Amino acid sequence: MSPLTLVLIGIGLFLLAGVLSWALRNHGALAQAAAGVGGVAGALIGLWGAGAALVTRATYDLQLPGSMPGSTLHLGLDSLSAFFLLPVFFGAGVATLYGVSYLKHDQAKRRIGRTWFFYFLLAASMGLVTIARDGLVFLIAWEVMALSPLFLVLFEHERPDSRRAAWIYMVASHLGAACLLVLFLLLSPDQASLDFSTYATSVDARTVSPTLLFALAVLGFGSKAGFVPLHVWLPEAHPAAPSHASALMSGVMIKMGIYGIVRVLALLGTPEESWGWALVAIGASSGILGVVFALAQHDLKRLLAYHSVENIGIITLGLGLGVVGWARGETELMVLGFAGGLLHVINHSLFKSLLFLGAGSVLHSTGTLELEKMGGLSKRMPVTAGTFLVGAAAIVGLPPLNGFISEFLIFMAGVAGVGTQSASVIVSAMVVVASLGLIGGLAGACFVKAHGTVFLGTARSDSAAEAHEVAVGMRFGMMVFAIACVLVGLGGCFVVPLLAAPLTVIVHQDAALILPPLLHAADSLGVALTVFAALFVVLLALFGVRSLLAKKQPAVEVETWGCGYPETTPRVQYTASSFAHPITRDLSSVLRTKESSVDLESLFPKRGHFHSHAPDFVLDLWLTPLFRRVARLAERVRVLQQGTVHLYVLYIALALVFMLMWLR
Amino acid sequence: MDSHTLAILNILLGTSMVSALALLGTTRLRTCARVLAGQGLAVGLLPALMSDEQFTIRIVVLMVGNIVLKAVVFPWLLLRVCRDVSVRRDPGAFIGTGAAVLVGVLCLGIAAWLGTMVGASLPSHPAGVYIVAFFLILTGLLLIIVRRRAVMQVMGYLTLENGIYLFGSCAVIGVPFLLEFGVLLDVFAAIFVMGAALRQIHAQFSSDDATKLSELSG
Repeated sequence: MSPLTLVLIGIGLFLLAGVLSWALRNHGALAQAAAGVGGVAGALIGLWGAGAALVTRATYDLQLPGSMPGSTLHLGLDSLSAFFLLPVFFGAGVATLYGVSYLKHDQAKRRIGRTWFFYFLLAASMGLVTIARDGLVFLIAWEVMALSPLFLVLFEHERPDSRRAAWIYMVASHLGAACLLVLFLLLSPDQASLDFSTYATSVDARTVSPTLLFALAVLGFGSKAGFVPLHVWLPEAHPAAPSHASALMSGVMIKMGIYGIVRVLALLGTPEESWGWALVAIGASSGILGVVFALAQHDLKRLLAYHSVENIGIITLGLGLGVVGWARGETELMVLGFAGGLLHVINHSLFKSLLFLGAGSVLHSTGTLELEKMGGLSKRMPVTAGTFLVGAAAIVGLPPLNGFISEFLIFMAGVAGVGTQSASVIVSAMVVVASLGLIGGLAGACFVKAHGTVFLGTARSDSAAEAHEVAVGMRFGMMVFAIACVLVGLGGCFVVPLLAAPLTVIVHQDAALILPPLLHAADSLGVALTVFAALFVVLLALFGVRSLLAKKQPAVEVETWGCGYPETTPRVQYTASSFAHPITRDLSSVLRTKESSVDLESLFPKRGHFHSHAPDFVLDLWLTPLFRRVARLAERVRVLQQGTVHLYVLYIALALVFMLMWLR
Repeated sequence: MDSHTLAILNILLGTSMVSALALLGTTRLRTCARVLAGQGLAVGLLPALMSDEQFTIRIVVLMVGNIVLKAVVFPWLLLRVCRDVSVRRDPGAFIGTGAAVLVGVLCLGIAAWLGTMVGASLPSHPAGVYIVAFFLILTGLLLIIVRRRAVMQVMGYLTLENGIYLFGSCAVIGVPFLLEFGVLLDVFAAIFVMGAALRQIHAQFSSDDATKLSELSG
């Protein structure tokens, strides 16, 4: 069977699972079973198809019978599509396993049928987006993919903040979709056919400036990917959805924006150098602002959502260097930049899904996502704590985990760029290296804060004190992702050469040209990983010696030394805010954190308190006033709306006559 | 096309055009419904004269079905609605019938311009066909705009549909009847909905004056 058929069967199974679980919504257990079986089977078959397409490096094409006006129902599978299908199927499959277990206590409620339906609709439409080869098919799949999360965000629709999140999400995603509509129409040489094959061949025939097309792609796909300042929906929408759905949204869905940009780059052919600078600038601002905002959050899922913005920034930095290299003909820079960006897509999908599932487990057992109410969970939830630690180390980019290898590739691209003769390339490469360093450091601080406050120390609230480890299915889901993180990390030198296949599709160049820089990078990675693996073994050995020694002495549990103060409470621990305060205070000009406090004064102080809140300044200071102004302008047009049928028909008649005259 | 066919064609075109002007100038609803029946018959027959193709059973059935609906069923339904809601006249909402006919003549001018312009790039037919098609479309819209009674507005929609049908059956070579039939069924459904709604509105507000329906908005 052809890989494309397998992928289509996988997508079909997702849809079937969704429809079945909706149809069986009155029988909770059956609906859950349908979701679990269909989701896992679809994921396995789809992964098989995508993997086969990657290994054979062939291109598969399918023209479905039937047609829509201006469209050919054209599907196709090349290495680039197959590459992006890997996180779609893997992420959806494992998150399904987790979700079945996660939703068990909601089983009696009818809403789980709806949740599963839209979850699978999202997964299937993401698959379709990657294999669409026609503008109309792509846009329809894109729109389904944009709308289905709306209903996942509305999972707890009785809560006002869920409805607000859904509203923001909808506005952001439709502003993006509007840009895409224009983009696909302009890409077509004569607006008659929207088939991708006509886009690619019409580079010279095109009257529209390619830079305009690229800008539309960045705006349209960037709102889905979460580029600053189009990221505002992420921190609102991700926390509102059920955790396995937020894992799919944050881990996989936002990558479809990256896929779109990469696909448009491939269609447009050799880029302009300025596009690369634009991507580097976007990547640097998204990466740095994302992690800075993350530092100021107290809500675990909001924090993770801002880290998605940060990681999209890292991916974009890689792509930006790739584009600069492509435009300047610097093969090493191009290959390493694109390779790092693409590999980070996979890696981020693994560790971000893992972290969201971890956050879901914490929410499941403590009932809160508020960092200041947690603490000491590692004793009660060892598996969740362990896997979350793996995810945190991976996202920060610590070796030998997967985040390290993709960031290493981007660093290598930066080094290659600094080594060139051109001043502009050197500057953009230095921007990339510097911002990656800054992002890495801040992300490290942020995850020390997140992991430390949630899992270490002692419980800050009763719910945290009574937490318990989550069910087997949830633990299994997290462990699969954690193992995948470790495997991709340790096997880095074998994974990197595989990136040659999708790269040839993007830059339309021979694999023989692309492979040498990748093999060189894989060699350096091999050395780095061996060193770190050796260090890791030494660390393990020391740990072993320590536990051997500790065995001889009986363990004694005592209070932490409190400078002689006997009445310690959990409240004397560092909180998440206080831990991050030295950094957030320095960045207060960007963050605009609102703080209110009653300080402790005199010898016998009254009860004090401290409260801080970091609003998203893009939303509060830029977008909200902008939309208010637009609404005020729109108010003036309301004169046209009088509520009489006669007038509306008059408008229609005038429009008709005008169009007929204009289009003659 | 021989001279006899051309003569019949011109008579039918003239009938359609005059019927549209008559609709604009008539206030009595029952008369309007009858005029509309004549228009439906004329417009329904027109494509048969212009078709180069063999008359297969399918085409004949579709065409006859079309004529039956437009010349018999719809007018009958409209007459019944007129009786049920006991509305006899529609004196017009914003302009009187005289002015409406004058605007209609203006529309004929616009239609003549549009028809010759658009018709130039379409399959060649006697030029009058496209002009009449546009004229029916514009008159239909005009009827909806200037009339007060909802029943009369339904007749406007039907005139509009007659124009679209005429244009479609001339502009598309092949078998457009099936497609047109779809449009017709849409209008058919719309009329049923409007008829049902009309009765409800009449029962609720004891008026079907479309200018007063604005209070329902918002």
